[in-house]
Amino acid sequence: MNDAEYRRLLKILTVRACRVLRVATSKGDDWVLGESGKSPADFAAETLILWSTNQLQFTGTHEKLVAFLTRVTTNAIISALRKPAVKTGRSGKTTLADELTEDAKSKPESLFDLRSLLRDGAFREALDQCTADDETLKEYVVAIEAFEDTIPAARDIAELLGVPVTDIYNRRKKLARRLGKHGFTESRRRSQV
Amino acid sequence: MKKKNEENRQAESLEESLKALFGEERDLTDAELDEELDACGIDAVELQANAHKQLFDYSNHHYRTLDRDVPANLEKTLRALRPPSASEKAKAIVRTAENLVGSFLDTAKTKSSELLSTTLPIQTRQPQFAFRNKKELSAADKDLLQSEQEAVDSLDES
Repeated sequence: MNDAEYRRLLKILTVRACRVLRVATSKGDDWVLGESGKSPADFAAETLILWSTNQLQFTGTHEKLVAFLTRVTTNAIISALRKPAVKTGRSGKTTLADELTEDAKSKPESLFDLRSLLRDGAFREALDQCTADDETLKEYVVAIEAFEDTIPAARDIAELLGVPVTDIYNRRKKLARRLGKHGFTESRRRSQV
Repeated sequence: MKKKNEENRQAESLEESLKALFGEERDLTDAELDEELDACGIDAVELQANAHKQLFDYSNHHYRTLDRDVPANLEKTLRALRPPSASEKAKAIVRTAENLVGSFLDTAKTKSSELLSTTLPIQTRQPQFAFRNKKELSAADKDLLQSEQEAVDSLDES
């Protein structure tokens, strides 16, 4: 890897951390960052430290290395989100994070499954706010929802909407930037008021 | 172990959702990565400097102060993320200034040739163009020539 590739890797990991944090923390009170106080950049730097000090073993192509390290970053955030998390049930009883794990496992659908995310009130509200003034983005979100049982690829969405695939790539990038700017925390705070 | 598996499952599921909604981060160009970081309130230059500091502190704390060898990959990462020195910054500024001046001159040349080719009449673009090359003289030109001729003739007669 050359110097530019190292610098690019840091950016990729940080963008991943931003996306994960924004989506994961939109899942309501069960998923909070707690007291760790880590920023997306901290998670990216930690992954780089683990890898560069051989605490993570990986042999493979550069492409696969990037995919591997982005997964490590995602796992680290999920783990950090869960550790301090406590869940207050209807009875007001506080449940420890480890008990939460068992609880979540019993559910047939993952909390971060695409369908589950799109049905989530706070996440949906954030999406709606980010797409309110842009018909092409609204159309894009509706198109994703139209695929009931599968996770659609860009090509599938492009076919459904009758637009070139590059158009879908551009809409994705735009949506990601808008959600980054918007921030989910604000949306949740407003919805709770 | 159960907890790890559960975390992996959640991470995998979240990755699939992120990919479906936003695409993959590694497909973005450097400029697009910068743009998304910027949208999240992160400056790419600061990000690199902060990451370098974190890795540098880690290498000091866990290796250098303990007199242990710093792993080769950590050395490489540190070198790649090292913020530019004062002289490197100065060189970069000079390079940018030179490029700016160069592009300014190029633009000026292009614009002036564009102006010449679009605003002046076709004859004036020929350097040999002159009054004497006119094939047909206007009435005013003829009057001027006539009066000049008469002035010359009257001088000769006297």
